[in-house]
Amino acid sequence: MISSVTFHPFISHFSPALFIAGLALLFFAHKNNDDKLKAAGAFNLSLCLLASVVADFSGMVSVDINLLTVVTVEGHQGYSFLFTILVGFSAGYAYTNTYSRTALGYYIAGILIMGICLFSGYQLVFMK
Amino acid sequence: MIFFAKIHPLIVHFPMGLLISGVVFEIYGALRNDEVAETAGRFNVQFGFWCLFPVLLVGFLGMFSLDNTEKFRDFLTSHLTYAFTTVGVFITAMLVFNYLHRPWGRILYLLLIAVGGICILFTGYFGGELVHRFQVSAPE
Repeated sequence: MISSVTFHPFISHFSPALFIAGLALLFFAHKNNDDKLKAAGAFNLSLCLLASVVADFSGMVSVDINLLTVVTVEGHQGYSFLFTILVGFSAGYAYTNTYSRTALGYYIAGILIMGICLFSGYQLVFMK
Repeated sequence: MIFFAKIHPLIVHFPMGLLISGVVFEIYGALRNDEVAETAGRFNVQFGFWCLFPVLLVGFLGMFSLDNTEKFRDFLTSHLTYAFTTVGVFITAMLVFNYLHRPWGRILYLLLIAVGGICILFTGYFGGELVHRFQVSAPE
């Protein structure tokens, strides 16, 4: 069901979706003062971290990586690694100090880098 | 119209990722009696369900801009078939979840989202092959 060509694009669906869903759950948890939603948000962010790491590794062994120049690929890789680090911090803060100013900074930076990472990956396929 | 064909693969991440993860989390949560996983799964399924409609519309509009469809017609047909089946299955699942408050309604709901999860995997497979094998809306 998942061909070797589309393995990385398939895996990379999960991290942005889980990151946005995790942050949305944290927002609703704050709004409704609901601890169950907060735990669910942190759970989503944890799985997002796992998905990001898998996406990073699958990208590094992607079958079409040799068809692109190093400079072209490095931009996307850099943003992906940065996104993974930010997701790690976001997941950590989601469990400990969920609504602190530092945590909000990581969440916002995560959203920005996620957007750039998605777009740079999109450019590799659709705007060669 | 080519704009829609190019934007579809970018926004499709959300329903795909949310629905597949949501189905897995919710079924896992229900089987293991894990409330946190079940809550996360239910939220992801519902969020992914509402993301399905704009993505379906954009994909449908983008389809009209495609030319020379002969070589990938089978894949496009399968992608469309599974996409519409996914929407149908998840609409049924949402109706069951909201209006069928019986013990077997819950089992039926879990079965339906499991089928929906399989359908979206097939949709994604055929969509991925269209882009990465046939270079649809991507430069050769």
